[in-house]
Amino acid sequence: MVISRISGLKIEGISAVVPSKEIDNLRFAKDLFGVEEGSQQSRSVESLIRSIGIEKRRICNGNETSLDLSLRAAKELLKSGNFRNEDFGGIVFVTQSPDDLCPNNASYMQYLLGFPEFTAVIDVNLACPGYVYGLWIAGLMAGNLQKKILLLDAETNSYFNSPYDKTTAPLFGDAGTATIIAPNSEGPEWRFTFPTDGSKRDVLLVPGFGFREKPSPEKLEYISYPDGSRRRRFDSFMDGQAVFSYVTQRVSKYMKQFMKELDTTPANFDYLMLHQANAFMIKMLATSLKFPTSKMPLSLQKYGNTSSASIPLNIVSEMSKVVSQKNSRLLMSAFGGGLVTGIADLDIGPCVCTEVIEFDS
Amino acid sequence: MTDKNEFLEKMAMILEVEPTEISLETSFRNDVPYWDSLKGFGMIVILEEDYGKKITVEEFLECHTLGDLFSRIDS
Repeated sequence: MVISRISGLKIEGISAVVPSKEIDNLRFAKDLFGVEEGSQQSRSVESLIRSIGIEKRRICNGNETSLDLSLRAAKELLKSGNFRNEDFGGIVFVTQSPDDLCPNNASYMQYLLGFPEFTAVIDVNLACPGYVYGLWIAGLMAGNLQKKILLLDAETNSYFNSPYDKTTAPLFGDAGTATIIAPNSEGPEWRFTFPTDGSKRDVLLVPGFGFREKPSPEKLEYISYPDGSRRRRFDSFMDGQAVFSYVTQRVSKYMKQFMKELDTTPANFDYLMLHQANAFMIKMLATSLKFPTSKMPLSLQKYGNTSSASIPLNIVSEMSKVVSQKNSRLLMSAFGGGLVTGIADLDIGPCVCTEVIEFDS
Repeated sequence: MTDKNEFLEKMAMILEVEPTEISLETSFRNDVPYWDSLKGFGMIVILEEDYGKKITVEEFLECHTLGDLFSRIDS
């Protein structure tokens, strides 16, 4: 196991924004599966929603973008902490749903926020584990530049997630977040590890947005699949069983090994901060790690799986008070498309933490 | 010899019922209050992780009772 260690950092603030449009997920799923109230099938759909734990989701109304959501999150955060633009040396924007392929979101954000001319700008495309990578990259930049880094993380999954896909449609939501990483000589050592299995590319992907498949009108047509799902060429696809076994078996092993190599146990951590993928799966992961579920904050019941934005959204939604008042040590882990995993041992708080903000378009 | 009671305890945890409410005769897709595909994924993982028995989704679909699953790990 390769472990990256960085000292001298502090999270100085965090904020999150969700779209105002809310989906009642049980109602949605019953329509999706076309079930009759009271039937055996209907009970099965109720059980599924109960297992994934997603009662409600927030999705864009068709206009907001990842840039819009995180711009709002960044403005609120900069204002509530009285941060000064000239103290920043970089913007890292984690997203797999950028406004455009070029220029990247981070560079336009420098202009929109009025950040200094000498701002390093980078977008990071890493599916669900993106936030862990973002913290690592922003941490390396902050240490090297001795300047604050604005880490933005936003996803608009609803734009490439077919509402007729029986696997992915009941899962995903949209959100935008902002985090400030700053150099701080008293900060404890942060540790990261990043296992990858690129052979599993086909089990979770958003195809057809790059140039393996050239842009064409056919990409906009819905295609029917044997399970009754319909997707366009560019809609996300997930092999649920393959992802499930990866997370509960491989990610579990990676996390156990990480804790062992750092000579830690669940007792050393205040919180287990997991990617909000689905409740049944991450509870099974927590159980395998011997973490009590009381140490695992969950917000997916309100917001769904917001891919890379789910961890910062979860912190703001469930830990706002704790983060504002005291220091907590987190064991963080996110996993997804690649297949890629990011695991971190780091601390947060006391620092600026907003409540979850509703985006008014 | 695999411990039957321990197996039923693990299955009860996945199925969200008390171990006393199920037996090897339990038809897990029909006889419990809540059944869905995620629980099936969970069972497949338990068979592999805790009993070293890797089964495919197709093989899993051929199993109807907990006894069908148990006989696969107890051979």
